[in-house]
Amino acid sequence: MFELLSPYHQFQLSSLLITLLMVLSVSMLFEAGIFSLAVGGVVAIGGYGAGLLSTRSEMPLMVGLVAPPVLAALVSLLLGMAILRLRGIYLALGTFAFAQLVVIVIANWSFAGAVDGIVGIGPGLSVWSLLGVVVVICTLMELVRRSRFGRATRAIRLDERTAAGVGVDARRYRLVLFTIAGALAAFAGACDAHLVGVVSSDQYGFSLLVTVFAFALIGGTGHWLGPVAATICFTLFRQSFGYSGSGWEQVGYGAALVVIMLVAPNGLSDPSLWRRLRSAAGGPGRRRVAASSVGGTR
Amino acid sequence: MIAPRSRGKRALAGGSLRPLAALCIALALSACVAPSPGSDEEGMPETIRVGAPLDLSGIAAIAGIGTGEKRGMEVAAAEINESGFLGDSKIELEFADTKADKRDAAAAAIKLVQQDAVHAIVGFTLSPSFSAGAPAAARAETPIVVPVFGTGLEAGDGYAYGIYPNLPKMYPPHDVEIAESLGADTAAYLYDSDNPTATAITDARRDALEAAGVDTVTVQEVTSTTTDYRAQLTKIQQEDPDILVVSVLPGQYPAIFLQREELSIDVQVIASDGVATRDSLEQAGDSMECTVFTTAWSALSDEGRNPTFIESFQKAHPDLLPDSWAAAGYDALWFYAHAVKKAGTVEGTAVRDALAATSDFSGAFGNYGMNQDGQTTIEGTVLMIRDGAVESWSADKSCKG
Amino acid sequence: MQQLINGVALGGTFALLGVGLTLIWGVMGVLTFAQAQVLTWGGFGTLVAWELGASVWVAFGAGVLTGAVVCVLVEVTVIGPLRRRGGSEFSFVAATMGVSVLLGFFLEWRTHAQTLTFPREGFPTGSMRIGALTLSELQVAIIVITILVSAALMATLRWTRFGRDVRAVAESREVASLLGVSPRATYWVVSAIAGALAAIAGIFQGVSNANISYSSGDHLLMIAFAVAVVGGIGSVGGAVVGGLAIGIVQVFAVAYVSSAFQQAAAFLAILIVLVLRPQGLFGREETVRV
Repeated sequence: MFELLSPYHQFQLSSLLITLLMVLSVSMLFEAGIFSLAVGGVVAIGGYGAGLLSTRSEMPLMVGLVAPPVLAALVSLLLGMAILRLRGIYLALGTFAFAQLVVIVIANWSFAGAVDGIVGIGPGLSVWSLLGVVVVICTLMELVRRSRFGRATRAIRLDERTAAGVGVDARRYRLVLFTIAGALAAFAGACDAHLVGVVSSDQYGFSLLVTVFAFALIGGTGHWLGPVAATICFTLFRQSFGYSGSGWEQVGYGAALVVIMLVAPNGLSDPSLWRRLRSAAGGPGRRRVAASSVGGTR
Repeated sequence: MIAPRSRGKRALAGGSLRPLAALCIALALSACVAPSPGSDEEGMPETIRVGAPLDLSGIAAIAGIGTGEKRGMEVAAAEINESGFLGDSKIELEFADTKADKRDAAAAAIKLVQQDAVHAIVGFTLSPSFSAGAPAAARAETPIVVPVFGTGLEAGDGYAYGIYPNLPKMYPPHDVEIAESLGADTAAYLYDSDNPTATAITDARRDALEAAGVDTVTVQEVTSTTTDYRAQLTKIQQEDPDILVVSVLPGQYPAIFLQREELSIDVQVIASDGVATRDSLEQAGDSMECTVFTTAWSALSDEGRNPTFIESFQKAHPDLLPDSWAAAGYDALWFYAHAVKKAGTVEGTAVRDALAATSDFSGAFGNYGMNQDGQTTIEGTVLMIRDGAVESWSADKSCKG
Repeated sequence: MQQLINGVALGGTFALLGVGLTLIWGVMGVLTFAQAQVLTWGGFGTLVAWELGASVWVAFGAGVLTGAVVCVLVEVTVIGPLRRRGGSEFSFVAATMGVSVLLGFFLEWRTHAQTLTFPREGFPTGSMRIGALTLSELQVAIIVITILVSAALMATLRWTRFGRDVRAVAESREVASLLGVSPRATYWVVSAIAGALAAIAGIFQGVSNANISYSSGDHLLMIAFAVAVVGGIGSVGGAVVGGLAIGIVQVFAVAYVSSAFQQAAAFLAILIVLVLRPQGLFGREETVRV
């Protein structure tokens, strides 16, 4: 069969797509003003779930890709009911603490391989299936964005009380989003387990959070394309320079975080940012047009 | 004003999608010229490419091991090439920093094996990195030599060989010997619970000691990032064991010994390899008095190629002392070169068979060979720390506990 | 009893780092992820001064100064400008994460990713007996310094004009500047204090371990967050109590439950407090309290 991409590039693209799914799960919550750091924990549920089902049972691949996300959705629902009433940084810390606890429990659970983790997980979705999944999800996100649900979500983030005034039940929306995000992240974790073939508790900690989080923040809350673009750019950068070991990749990454936040505090997809850029670029032209139209309409 | 905003979004979408499309095309084009794995080559090419995926960043304790291995490999490569050991063929090392990240390890392995067509892989610092990267190399029939090995060699599917002896098998016999010479009846254990190797080692040591009649009074866990051990040490002291068996990363030992001394805890410590690095002795040598440990590599040893290794290393790095990691990296590369010469080719399966059949290798770890599990027959030496320096130990040597 | 001392001493380090964090959080409303690196830089400041031949006290002072300076620099170059551009809460998190990466990388680069020996001579490193207890001098020193520094800080905040200024700015920037208090100057001083405290914790950690590396402080960041949450944002006294509490809980987890739960202690603490009493032990919404 004609291979469009070499195995190495297939791996890298799959890796990128999986990261993208995790970033989307985080940024969909940002759009509703939910600052959740639980991604490490739900990804771990997905990864370990898929790993266990794949190596310890004869279940087909699909079960391993569907069951863990369902479990993660349930867990997210319960967690959400307990702490979604918190705001901002408090919610962030609470969700992070939860994620770390999940990882610690897994790491000490001998059924899940304890500290050794699980090895020998077989291959999962091909890179093309993954690409298909990502395209479908992005399409769904765009559809939702333009729908009433999407508008309600943005309303909740901007001003909850007014949103309630026009009949938006903020709590229910938040719970639904939290649950869906949990399932999506767990699905990404399951795919990741199949891609790398190995899972162990050390991969779900702080560095995963920082990576996913940073991409989501840089992408911003205006449009899901922001996080997508941020993830693609940074991941490509990382993949090209990543193995030289010179460490400058880290510098670039850290510097980019700082600089981009300073230039675009609400992320790259912030509409006001683009408005500012466009008026700065197209300013003189506009003025000319306005002048001529003023002159012309007399 | 709805119209301007949707125009803006379309502009955004158009702007972001075009580079993405360009990327896909570029990837597709570059994929058309992917080379076949290097280990398919027959004979002895002029340049033997060796991929070296190591963990060179991450927490400092791990990075120290990776950078040590890198230095050892570089010294070995220089020796092999300068001495013409492989005739006209020269070894070229290609390092990749896998950052203690499994995805990076897997990606690096695929890249080295598929894109760069390396003839062999010498590397992988951490066991999880190995588990992630080895399958890709094994699928391409590329032999893998791992300098410092923990657990899980099976992931290499017969192509992976470790230099470091199987640690869970190396320590226990010596531990039993040491315990018996001390007349110990009870033991406490302290280890890194987040490290698979330390966990496996401790389980093995405990099984052996219990079988020899040494009862376990307590098992205390720490993690690789723990810095305050006082709680665990106090608990251990309260249980009053005859010996304390410790398995942690080298960088953690100074703190453990210093805090032990502060709390006036007196128990005899049986440590693990890596307790007596130059830095540790400098930082905590006095508090380590009388500590006994088994090591795979010893700077005191005159066996095998060790004197040559030490000399070459000192010449390349006059401001550093050789350590176990460098010795492991050195031997790993030499071991591979040895197998290539014996097989007369770089072809993957032939080299793999030569690696497995090695019985007379002379390296920094002494004279040893490969056993049927793909690991070396190094038995380890027992050493003791006295007056801030390392000396060899024997059962009749007594020391204040 | 010995374990109680262990817990209090361990908690001292946590408290020092947590107080700095809660101050910045309470006064500036920023959750800074860079504090762990400030701690590490403080330790390195002492190391460098020592290697240049300074005496113990001078080296200690140099480390504290380094911590203060680094923290202020972060405020001046990143947090301040971001605040002026109207960054959201989350953008500060991302920016300080970036700062943390950069600071850590600089140390990694300069030290070639190696772990370095930390000087111990001149620091209290022996042990002393009090009755049936054996205490390490270092533990006693940490406890004493934590208590002294916290008391001084709390007294300053409550009774001096400067303390009132800080509380005013924490309450409302606009009102404070109307009253003639410069928010910017206040931010600088608060950053300096937080940085100095973190540095003290870092120096003690260095002496305790006899070594230091670019990643030495990283694992303390989450614990510092736990301390701030448990104690209540902005409450110095709360952070001290929270830090000691978490230290004691960790040690007792080892002594009476199992070492495995030591790691979980801080996170469980965060969750329990957030679910049951989000404002922490002594906190109120966004004010600096004594």
